[in-house]
Amino acid sequence: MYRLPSQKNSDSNKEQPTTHSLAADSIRSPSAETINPLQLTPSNLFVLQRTIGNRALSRLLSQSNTQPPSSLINSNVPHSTPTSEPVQRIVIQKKYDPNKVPYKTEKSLIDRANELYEQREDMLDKGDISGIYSIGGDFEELKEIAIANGWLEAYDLLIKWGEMIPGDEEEEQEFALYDKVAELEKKLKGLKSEVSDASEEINIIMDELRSIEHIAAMNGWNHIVNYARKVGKYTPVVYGNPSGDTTNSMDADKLDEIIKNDVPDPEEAMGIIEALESQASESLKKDKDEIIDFIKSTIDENIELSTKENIKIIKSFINTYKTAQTRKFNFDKCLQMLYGVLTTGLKRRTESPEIEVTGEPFNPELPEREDYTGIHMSEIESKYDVLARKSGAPEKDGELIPGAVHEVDLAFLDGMRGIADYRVTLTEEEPVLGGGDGGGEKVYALGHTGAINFEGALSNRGGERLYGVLFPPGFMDRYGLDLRTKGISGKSAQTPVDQDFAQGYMYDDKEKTHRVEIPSTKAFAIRAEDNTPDGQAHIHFSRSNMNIHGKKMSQLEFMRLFVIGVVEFNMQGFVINIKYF
Amino acid sequence: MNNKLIDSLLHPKESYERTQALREAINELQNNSFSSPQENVINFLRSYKTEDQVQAALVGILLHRLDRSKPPQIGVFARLFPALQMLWEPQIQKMAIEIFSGHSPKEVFYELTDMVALNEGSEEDRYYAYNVISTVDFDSVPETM
Repeated sequence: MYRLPSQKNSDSNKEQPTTHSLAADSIRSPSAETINPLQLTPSNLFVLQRTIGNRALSRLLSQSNTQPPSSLINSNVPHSTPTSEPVQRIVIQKKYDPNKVPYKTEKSLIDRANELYEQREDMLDKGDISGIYSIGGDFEELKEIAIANGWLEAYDLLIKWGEMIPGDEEEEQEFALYDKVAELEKKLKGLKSEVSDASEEINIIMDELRSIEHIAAMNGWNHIVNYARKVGKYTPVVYGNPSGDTTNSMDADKLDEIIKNDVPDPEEAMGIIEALESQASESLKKDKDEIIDFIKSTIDENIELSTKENIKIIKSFINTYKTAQTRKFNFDKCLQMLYGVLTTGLKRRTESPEIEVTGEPFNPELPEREDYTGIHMSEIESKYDVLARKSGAPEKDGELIPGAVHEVDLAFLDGMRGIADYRVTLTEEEPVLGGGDGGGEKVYALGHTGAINFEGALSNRGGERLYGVLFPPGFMDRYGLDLRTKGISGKSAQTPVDQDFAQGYMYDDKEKTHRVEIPSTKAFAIRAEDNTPDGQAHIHFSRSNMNIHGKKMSQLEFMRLFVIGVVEFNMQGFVINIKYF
Repeated sequence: MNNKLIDSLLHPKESYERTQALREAINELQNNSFSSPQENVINFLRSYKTEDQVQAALVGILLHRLDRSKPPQIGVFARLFPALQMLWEPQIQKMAIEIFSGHSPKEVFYELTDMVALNEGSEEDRYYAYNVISTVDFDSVPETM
């Protein structure tokens, strides 16, 4: 689907400056880029015809000078540069006034289309075509919103008003499929209100819905996948990348269960202790009782498996015992090995410096849980703090990885609570789980616009989907360390490491001249990059030694503790799926 | 190895930048097999500890290549072990399988357990050995490749 360059960030043009957000000041509007003089090549003609309409195009062609008005050439929208004023609060910039979110309904979108149509006709009547490019872009954007929300009437009108070429074959198929789900929804409602022996027909409809969902998943039409699921009310399915013509899929709850069970079995650990105790009499070791006591107490302390470190200690214990048994080591050697492994595990737990987070614990008042499907993200962002990501289909070196599950589907699992620290590949047997990003960091944009505009190569390689993780309002401000303008050059400071957080300061330069304070009330860093001027939060999966208000936990556990829900949204910022935890 | 690459490797702004730099370093070493990275880079590779399995595997591959014709060391195996199952990184997985060729993963797992349990080998190698024995299930480790 063609998008005008200005549409990529078209909403930025509508933004109103919010409160004292310095990072927001540094946004370069897309229209700040130099606009090249227009060359009317055949492909440009098609694009123009499609986006600005025949009447405007014929007027353009009739002019001897085929260049756009000088006001459009080399135009630059002034933008301010970051200053070094201190930022008092973290403000997530809103694209729209939350109270005036446009196009909440199909009617509001049609009204806007009518308005644009009248504006364009008026311009053409007056012979002024300076604004038609922008109107053409707006029509295109409205059309995409109409498609994303399944607003057929609005879509037809936009094609007509925009004098656009009706959608291509793929677009038509997408719409037909959406229509089919709407038809099945109606049928289903009718059947349920009628006689009770309609179960056979209901089953047929369910089968149809599943088949639609399958086709939609193959084509990446996630709004249809979610719509079909909503109508069918069946357990969500997680899809892996297709392998040839086959789409790998599995029940989301089942996958969740497998991930949750990817922990050692506590009973197995307790069984090993019993075995050690029963064999202790065979040992000649003088300190055998002390060692067994140490093993018992260490296992007791970690058996709840409530943290990643607990899991590691128990898993290494079980593995070491099995290793010793398989190699037929005698009891004393086995005991020595278990002692060595557990000692290492305990040492590792405290190897990285403890990061203590102090201050008044955060007890926010939570908004009422509502179904935001079809509503714009800015509405959600007026109620919650949102960390958002754009993620491409799992692929490597230009090839889709067969069976690999999309990050968005993983984020929706109960075990992940919006932050996927696993990678999953569906195979013919059990899914293969991996912690590929296990020790790295995941970076989330503050607010949906940062995710939509994100231009990183890995996030824009095809199959892009967007999701947002919902936190209580004020969470970012309370626990986020705002580094967006704290760097040596007035730009963002770099990511602090564990040691920096623990000692309460960092240096942003190698020469150690620019010191940045890290108050002990902060638990994670918020930086800024060109794509994320509003900020990006960094979650470090290996930041395990934290003590938050007196409770030991990892940064990941801390973040998940506050996660309220997760949403998937489209490129126009409309929610297509929501789940509360 | 140019200064920008070295900077991304040693002083990245984000973890992702370091991962990219490690990938580039592998390419560079492959394309220019007679040049070695600078001493500070080699020291970094030997001492760098991370739980990020992708980064660990990339470091393992680099260390093995820097050793030229020598058979892979246990520290290389420790860094590369999780990559044997890394379906989402087919290139890394392929290189890991090549380096493991002729070695039994089960036997390597035994060696890694011994290192941790008996405090053998270098501190960095033990770090990665513990990462393996505390995250991989013993029963799922194959006897042969």
